Amino acid sequence: MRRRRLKMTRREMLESVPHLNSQVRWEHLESGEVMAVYEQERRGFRKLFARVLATPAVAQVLLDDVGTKVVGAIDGVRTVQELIGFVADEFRLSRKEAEVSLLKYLEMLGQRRLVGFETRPEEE
Amino acid sequence: MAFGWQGVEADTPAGWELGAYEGDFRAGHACLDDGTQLRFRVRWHDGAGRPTPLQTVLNRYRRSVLKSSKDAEFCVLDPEALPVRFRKDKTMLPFSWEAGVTGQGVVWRCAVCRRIVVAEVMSPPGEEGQKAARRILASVRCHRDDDERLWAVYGFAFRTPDSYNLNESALHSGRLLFSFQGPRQSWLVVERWGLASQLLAKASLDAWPRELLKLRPTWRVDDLDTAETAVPAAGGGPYRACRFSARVRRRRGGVFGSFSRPAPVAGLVWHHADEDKIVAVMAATGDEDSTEHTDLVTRVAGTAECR
Repeated sequence: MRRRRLKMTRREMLESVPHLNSQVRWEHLESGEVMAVYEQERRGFRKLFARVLATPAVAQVLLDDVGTKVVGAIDGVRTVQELIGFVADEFRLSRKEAEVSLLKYLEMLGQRRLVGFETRPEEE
Repeated sequence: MAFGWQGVEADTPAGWELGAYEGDFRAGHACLDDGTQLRFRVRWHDGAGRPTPLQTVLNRYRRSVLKSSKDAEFCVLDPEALPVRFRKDKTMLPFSWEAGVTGQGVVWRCAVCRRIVVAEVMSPPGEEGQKAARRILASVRCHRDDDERLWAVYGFAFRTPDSYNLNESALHSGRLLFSFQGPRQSWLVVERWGLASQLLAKASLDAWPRELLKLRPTWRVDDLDTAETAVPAAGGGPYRACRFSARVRRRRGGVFGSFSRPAPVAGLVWHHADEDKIVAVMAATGDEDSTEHTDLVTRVAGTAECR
């Protein structure tokens, strides 16, 4: 069954609050970086491929310095808009540059289901 | 904070950043927002040839405002509300409108660059923005007197000769790219990279020319030569830099296509340590014996500013 993609307005997206997936193990390495360890989703063709190719059940994503700081700033309270401000200040980027970089990064984390987004419906 | 795009310049408040743009020097528009709301919009088109009366341009604009909001109020203002220095060489019509958001703008025809420009500043409800809007509008310029064009967005500014036209621009994650086409097959590329300290940990500044050239998959690079130097960029420096030269052939017609004649390329890449940015300027000329491209790189690099 195809999953429906939630459509969000720009304002809703900026006001949404990212949360780290509690099912993911966030390992802090000695190098200071963070590694996300999670079970791979196995449904449909993926399940078949996993059986045939015997792929590992657990996946790991090593975050770089920037990613580590971004993930560290996701506290379940800060909105995407506030995270953009954090990234802009932390890495001396303009707001727009920070927005482009952060949204791309959050999209990647979201696709791997490492983060989810709490949205509040726009007031009429 | 200076804003510059396609020859149009303005002093806008910090935090207003380019959100949308379209077109070229002859016709186009640019919009600045404050993160949530549209704050400044400028449109321009070539006013040469059969001249369109300004009143017609304004009427057209008025209709579009009234169409988007039926309750909107639109009025034409007295040009004397704007400073004399702004009115020089221009015939103009200031206007304002209110449709929840308040807009203050001006449409003018420039006798020098022969463009018709419509610039407007928007203030959200509850903001007393009239004085600020007038100050911003009075700072808008549609041309410079030094045959150059200012490009100033996202805290990065540089000037190019006005014979070079923008043919590509992009804001990627951490990378701001401008590509210009000049006369006689010459071109100019200006790039600014953020997070320089992270990037320099992966590849030293000396390795950057090769890395930059590698980003162009359709280029075949020969005779790359690099030399360490320093640049006295505008607003700071000198910064540690790497000057390079190479011969580049561009692939034509897909994977199995032929390569163009080799063109000499010159470039300069430096680390703007104060702002943690890497700036690169590259240029090429169609004439193999010319050194114009080297001079152009030095000239453009001298105007580059990171804030």
